[in-house]
Formats: sequence, C-alpha cells, structure tokens
Amino acid sequence: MKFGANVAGRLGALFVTAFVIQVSVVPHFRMGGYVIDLPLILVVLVGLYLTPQRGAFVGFLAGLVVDLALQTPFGMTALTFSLIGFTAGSVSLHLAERHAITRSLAVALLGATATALFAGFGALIGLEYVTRRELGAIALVTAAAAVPIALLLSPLVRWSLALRFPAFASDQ
Amino acid sequence: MLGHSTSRRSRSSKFRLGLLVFTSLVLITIDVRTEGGAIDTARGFVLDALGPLRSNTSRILEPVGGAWEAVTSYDDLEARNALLRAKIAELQSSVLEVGEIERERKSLLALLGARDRVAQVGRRTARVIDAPISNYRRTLELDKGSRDGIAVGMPVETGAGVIGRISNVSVTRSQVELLTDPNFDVGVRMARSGDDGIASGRGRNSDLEVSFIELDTVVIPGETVVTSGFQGSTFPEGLLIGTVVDVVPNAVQGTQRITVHPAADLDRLRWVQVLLFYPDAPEPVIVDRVPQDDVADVESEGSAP
Repeated sequence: MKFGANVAGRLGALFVTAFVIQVSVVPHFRMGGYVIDLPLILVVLVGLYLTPQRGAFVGFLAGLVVDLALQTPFGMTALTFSLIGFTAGSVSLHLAERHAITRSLAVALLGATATALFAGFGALIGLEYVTRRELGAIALVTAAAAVPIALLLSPLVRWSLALRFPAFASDQ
Repeated sequence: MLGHSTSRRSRSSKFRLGLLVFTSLVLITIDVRTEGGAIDTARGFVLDALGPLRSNTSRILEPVGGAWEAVTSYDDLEARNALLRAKIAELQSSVLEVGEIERERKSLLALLGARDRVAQVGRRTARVIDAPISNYRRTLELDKGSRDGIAVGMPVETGAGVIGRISNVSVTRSQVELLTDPNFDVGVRMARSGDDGIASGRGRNSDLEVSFIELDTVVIPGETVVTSGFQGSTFPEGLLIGTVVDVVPNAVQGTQRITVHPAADLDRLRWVQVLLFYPDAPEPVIVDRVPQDDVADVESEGSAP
C-alpha cells in the first residue's frame, strides 16, 4: 500500500496518541511491576499490514520519538523497532488470510522478541539493563498484554491505513 | 520476469533496512560518546514538555494505579507483607545498635581525619513521579531541575539512605538512576574495618554487590556500608548505603563478594532529597567543620582501655 498524506497523518496521530498514553497513563497500570510497551505493540500491529520496508520505516520513526523520552542510548529503540517492523512486514503476507486472533498472537510473539532484541543490543554495547529473569518477565508481560491490545487497536490501525475490510472477522 | 522483480524488490527493502540500521547505530554512537549535545538538549526539552502532563496524571492516577497493582501483584504484596513483618521484628531488636553504629561511623570519619560533610551539604527536597516509561532502565523522575540547582551526578537520598544519583537534568525536571541499576557504581567503605570497595547495582529487587574487599578483612553480616567519598567522587563520604547480608570469600581472586541490602526502600518513594554536592569545588558547600571537641572525644574513646 502507498502512504498518502491522509494515511501518514492518521498514522502519525495514532503514534503520537500512543506515545502520550505511554508516558502518562501506562506507567500507573503496571503488570507485576513491569510497564506495557504500547508503542512497540502498535509498531508490530501496523507492520503486519505493511510491506517490510514500510514496516521498518514506521518502526524507525516511532522508535526515534520514544528514544527522546528514555534514558537508554538514543537510537536503540529506533533500531529495535525498525528491525521488528521489518520482520512484521515480512510475515504479513503469511497472515493475510488469518483471523484477527492469529494476528494478535503474532503481535505477542514479535513483541516478546523485540524485548529480547533490545536487551541484547544493550548487552552488546556493555549496558546490562535487566537480568535474564527480568527479561523473561518483561517478555511475558509484553506478550500477555499484546493480545488484547492488538485486538482493541486493530480497528484503529485499519482506519489509519484506510483499509476497508472487517476488523474482527477474518482480516482479508 | 516476476521472480526477478520480486528478488529486486527484496534486495531494495533489505538495503533500506540496512540504511535504517546504520543510521540507528550512528545515533547510538553519537549519544554514547558525547555529553550535553543536541540529543541531550532535545531530551531535556521533551522532559520539560511532558513534565506537567506526567505530574498531573500521576496525581490523578496514583490511587487507581495502586488499586490496580494490588490486583495484579497480589503475590508480591503478600511476600512484601511477610518481609515487612520480619523487618519490623529485626528493627525492634536492632534499635539499640543504631547508636553504636552512629558512634562507629563518627569515629571512622574522625579517625581518618575526614570532615563530616554530609550534614552540611545543601539539600533540595523533590517530589517523585514514579511512572517509569520503560522496563529497561528504571529511573525516577523528580519535579525539580537545573533551575533549582540540581546537576548530573548529585546523590539522592531519603531519610533512610542513598537511593541513587541524578542521571539527567532539564530546566524543571531531573531523573534519578537508582543504585540497583546494573550500571550504577559507587565507592564505599566498610564501617568496621574502614576498607574501601566498589558497590555495584545488580538489577531491580536485587541487593548490591561490593567488590575489591580483601580476604583478610573481617566483614560480618549486619555491618554498615557507607560511601567512601574518594576525591572526585560525586558522593560525599559517610552517606548510608546499606547493611551487609552475605559474605562469600573468593580464594582465587583473593577478595570477598559482599552482598549489601540497601538501607532505603526503593519502592513507593514520594519525596526525596537531592544533595547539592559539588565534588570539584575547593570548599564547595561546607559551612562548618566537625568540631574538634568531637574528634578529641572519639580519640579519647579510641585510646581508652
């Protein structure tokens, strides 16, 4: 699909809203002490409707914005999100005919993978952010939260991308 | 023909991904290697811009968030309850030791000819906005910034002990790196022996580890650990870090691995104090020295049979 000005605007508005919710509301509703990563879930969900390169580009831009609010090295979230956006775009063809729940499970799996990627990049540059046990817990929380959030956000993502087929039945 | 076109598209998308990865790596390198550049300025701007929103939502959502946490972390709460009960019992039995520990700390400082800077360092009280955005680097946000005299590196404590150091400052806000952060290191001193080591964070909900304490140094569980305040350190000497809970000798390295439980509770912080400590200034914040009488008292205690 091609990005018109309308699609880009709606997608931008969706990500800005997700970012504002992430910095203001989400931290107060932690699961087991861990924060749900709403922008990550959104990047994966949007990536599942796009080509790999567009998924990577959307992930990169979203990651740069998130990086501005974090204490981790600037660019690490952009790197993780662009790789996971690319992967989501790569598997999107295989999920085209699947039910929304299958799509949500894919979001959960890719979200958990992204948490491991981020921690791995940190370790590569000598910054150990979390222990293995914590990493497992973060991946689990991300995956568990991703399923319902992906189901809830699917209609919004489809609206922002100007997709017209039904949201909660099969996706295509 | 179609296969050729698909392969070219795939190569093109991989090339573009490569560009994005390269750009990210360049940005990471710039951020890691430079301090106070455009990236830090942009981050400071975002921190200031989001500050009022985060403060207000924090005030509104704190009670709701507390109830949510009670539901989602019930097991944790039960464990915490049991831990707190045990701690109360422990504290009741150790109240009498506090005076002795304080005397021990004073004598250590005096015997080393050190000045008790801690009490005389200026402080700024700040409200904590405990709303971490990410799981990877848990920082606390404070509602005070550079216009209140706060600078990067300054120690942050509660009445109970050190909780961390300032890691980022904007005009109206600042962020605290907790002492449990795996990237946190501080020079410490064992209160009984006076030996110096380095305390390092080991992650959320984990105790600190003190390294470089030699095998022949006697360290016992319950011993107090304070900051050593080496020259150039961003921490003055004598700030309470925690107490020793475990000692494991390492004969190969000729040192001991000492586990220290932080004195301050790092959860549910509401108000903290930032110590306006400037290590490089010649006589920065000291308004008075330790009275010579105190030193003489300690020396006479030390020489008593």
